[in-house]
Amino acid sequence: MSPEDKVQKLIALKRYENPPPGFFDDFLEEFQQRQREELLRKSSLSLFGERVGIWFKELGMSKWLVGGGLAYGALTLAFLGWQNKPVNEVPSSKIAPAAYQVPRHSARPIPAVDFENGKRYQTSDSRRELRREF
Amino acid sequence: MAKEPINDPDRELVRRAQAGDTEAFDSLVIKFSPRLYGMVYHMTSNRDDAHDLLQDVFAKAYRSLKRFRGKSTFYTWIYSIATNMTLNHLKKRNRRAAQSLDDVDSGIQNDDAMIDLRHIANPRQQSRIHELQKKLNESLQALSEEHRAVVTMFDIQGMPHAQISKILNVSEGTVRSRLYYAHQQLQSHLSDYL
Repeated sequence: MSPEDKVQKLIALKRYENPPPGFFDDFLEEFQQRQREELLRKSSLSLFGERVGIWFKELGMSKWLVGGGLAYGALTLAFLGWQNKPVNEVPSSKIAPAAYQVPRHSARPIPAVDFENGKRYQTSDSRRELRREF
Repeated sequence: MAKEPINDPDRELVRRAQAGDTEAFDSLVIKFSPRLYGMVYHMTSNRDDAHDLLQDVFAKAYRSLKRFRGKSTFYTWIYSIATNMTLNHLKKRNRRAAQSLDDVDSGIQNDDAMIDLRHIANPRQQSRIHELQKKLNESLQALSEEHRAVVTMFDIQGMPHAQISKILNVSEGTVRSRLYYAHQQLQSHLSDYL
């Protein structure tokens, strides 16, 4: 007998290792109990997801067609959404013209000029202005 | 050319189970759990792992039963599920840490041939049987998962090469070369007993 045959014979001894008596009866009972618990625990949403998954896998080769169609639809929707989005939209409240007010302290009366007599009626402010001009 | 329909002895039970007959599925559990347990147990060398994994295997098979199209026998299909789940489990287990193996397995006591042997054997021989059993477990665990799988299916469960290749989705040549390599490794581990 070759060493390989001897090894095979030794390893084959392991087929005599069995679980304790009654193991498989308990096993089935536990399996049934577990199935019931799993059904109760599973939400309807996850059951729906699983059904969709199974349905999708059952489609065979046509699942690629369906998958491609779904991907195309999603891309189209995303593109259309992106196209319709206004660019740099500013709220109307922010584009109202700003009210411009000259600060009170910087408002100066314009010097009045009597063109016929060539005389200026000067206020104290306009006098200072005139001095700067001439 | 149309493919020949596969002659599956479990076709009727499977058809009923697919139609929602839970008793039919229970019959399949009863029929296949001993063989599947053997595979999972010899792959893991751990009783608790084997029990939990086998529960998961049947739960998964039940959920996926509608997808079973009969392209292989039900036995090959469920055996593939069990093998894949066991290999995944072992990969996770290896990542976690080196796990302590079961002590000398008491299951061997349940076999008639072994019981006879234990009655005849004197205490010294009995201790040698225990020692051998421990050594066999250690030697199997020293193999890679892929090599252990083919040894389990071929040497322990007596499966033909063709069926192993279907279950593992590899060629028969790969099955043979894995077996050859595994036997070489086992020879060096078990040299004291050869």
